Amino acid sequence: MGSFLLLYGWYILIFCVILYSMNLSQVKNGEYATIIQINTEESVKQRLKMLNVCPNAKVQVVKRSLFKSSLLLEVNGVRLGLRREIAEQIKVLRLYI
Amino acid sequence: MREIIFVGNPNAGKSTLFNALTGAHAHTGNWHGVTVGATSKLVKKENQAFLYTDLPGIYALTGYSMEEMHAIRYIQEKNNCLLVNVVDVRTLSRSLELTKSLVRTGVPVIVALTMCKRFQKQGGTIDVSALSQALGVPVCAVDAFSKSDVVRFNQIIQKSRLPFPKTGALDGFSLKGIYTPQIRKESLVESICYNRFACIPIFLLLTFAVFFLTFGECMPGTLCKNFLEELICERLTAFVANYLQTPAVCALVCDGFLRSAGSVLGFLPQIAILYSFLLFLEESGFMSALAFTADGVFSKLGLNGRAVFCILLGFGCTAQSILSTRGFEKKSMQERTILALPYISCSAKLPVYVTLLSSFFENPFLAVVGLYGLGVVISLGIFVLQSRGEMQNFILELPEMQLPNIKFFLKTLRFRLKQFIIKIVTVVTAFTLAVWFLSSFNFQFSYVPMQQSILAHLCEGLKYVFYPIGVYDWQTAFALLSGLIAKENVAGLLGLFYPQGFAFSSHTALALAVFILLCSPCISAIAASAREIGWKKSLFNALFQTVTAVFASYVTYYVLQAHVLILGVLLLLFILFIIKRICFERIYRRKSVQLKDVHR
Repeated sequence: MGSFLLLYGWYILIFCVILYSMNLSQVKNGEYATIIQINTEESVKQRLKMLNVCPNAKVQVVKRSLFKSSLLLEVNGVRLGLRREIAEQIKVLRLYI
Repeated sequence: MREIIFVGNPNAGKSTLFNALTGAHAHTGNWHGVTVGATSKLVKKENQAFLYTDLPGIYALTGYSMEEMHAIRYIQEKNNCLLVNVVDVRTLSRSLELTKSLVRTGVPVIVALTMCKRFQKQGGTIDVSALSQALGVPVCAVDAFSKSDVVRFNQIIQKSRLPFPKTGALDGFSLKGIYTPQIRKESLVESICYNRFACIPIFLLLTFAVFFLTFGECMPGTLCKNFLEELICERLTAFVANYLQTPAVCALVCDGFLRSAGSVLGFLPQIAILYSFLLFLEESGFMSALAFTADGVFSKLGLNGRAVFCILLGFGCTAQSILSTRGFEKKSMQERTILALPYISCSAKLPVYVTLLSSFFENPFLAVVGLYGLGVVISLGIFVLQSRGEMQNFILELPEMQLPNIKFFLKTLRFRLKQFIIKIVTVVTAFTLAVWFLSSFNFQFSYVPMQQSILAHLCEGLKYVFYPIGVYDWQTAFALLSGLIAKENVAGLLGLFYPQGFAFSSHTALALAVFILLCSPCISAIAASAREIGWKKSLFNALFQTVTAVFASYVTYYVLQAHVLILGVLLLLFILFIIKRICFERIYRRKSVQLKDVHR
């Protein structure tokens, strides 16, 4: 069993990451997530980076706006509102805290 | 002359610091993107001149929205200057990116840390001298509300010849040991205001309460207004009239000057209440909460939550709100917003509504609220009609909510009211006096009744504009059209022409109020929109708005005459039109598909 894990452990880990990764808009209110990848256009990516939203950052989805069109995020002390269409392009891994 | 430029992230307190250092009155507020253009002020001290310049907030030296591009170009054009990098200490770790890239430009930089008190209260710590050493540029903690701090900071930036920064120190720079961030907890007020179901009802309730305070019967707004109006129009006029014997001079001072100025100045208390409400929304940070929550509504209209800022500023002054549309990322969105903004009633339209309606309604409160609401509905309707189904991005940093500083609040309110009074005393009075002169003398310059005067000859034709709705004289049409110069003129001229009340019915008055609501904004707003979208388009917009306003006033009048029947038919037609449009959209284009892409 040990040798099996040693051989295929990395594949299983990557498989699990893909299985559990979701986009930011699927994270529920009050839950935390770590950003894996941002697939938006370059200018939006730059702007998000200035607001602390970059790969490896821990994000909390605090609230949603009316009709759930936007998400209120908290990242390292910065609060920002983000349109759902952009959030759908951000891959995250949910954190169970 | 040295130039001192204020650079920093949005909502870091640049404009507040700029105002404190120079005594200027740049627009401030607790939301991101208040300043939209460069504001400069020349300060002379001991044979030296300093030009202070306040720029819109930027996140990095690569821009995203239109106002940021403007700021970045400004910095890159200058070379003999001092950059004051204003940094909100609560977001220091993020702001340092900008600080570093500013240092790398090679221009002298000084870092000003703001909001230190609040930061320390929340448990954050910072070692200012260590930060200064690590960055290689002077760092200074400033509280813009404390006089001694401001004087000290002014001395530093004016006196010392700052060394050019060494860029080598920046690599491998870390904040460890220098800075521990504060712990931000969501307060109760914040959690209520950002709640998606509570935010908009709270706002509507607050607005209704403010309108009630302003226009309601026996409420402070109305009481103060009546008092002030009586003081100026009756007591002061009677007092002055005692001393003036010549009828022409007496008429000039009493009718031409005091009565017309008084009929507008009397609205000062009501405008003060409206202004302080808007100021409170801006300074407390509630506006950002509203922008976030209402984004859901605006996303359906092809806009984003930023439109809330423009609409709320539009209740104060249309020109200012048009300038604030620079915060949008796309030009097409800005153009659509500029077409819709004039329908939001600005504070100068308030006296006109009340003057028109108060002689027919016992209590014009509901009628005025209805007109304001109608304006908002029409501007939202225009957004709907123009929306092309394109997706808009929305990324907005949200500030911490706070109670505004009372002293600062009162100072800003006083300044805005002073500007209102100055405008009345200069522009409106000059205009009214000119009109009085033209309407009191004939071409031989002898004092005659109004109907034989110069103005009557010139403007006789204007009476046909509102002929279908029961206005048979040229004075009213002239007064309403004079709103093009400044909307305050309308109330002043109505006071001049009709000292004893109006000669038309209540239906006509309502129709005229609708005309004022829909007609083109004043010349300064047209100029502001020309700066953004060009003269051709903005003049066309103004013409379009005025022509539709005339027809809308006819429609209002006939609807009121024939009561509910026509109203129902019109409403039915409108609903049919909307349904047809929606069906058409369903069939021929899905969201985000342009029409021209379908019909190839």
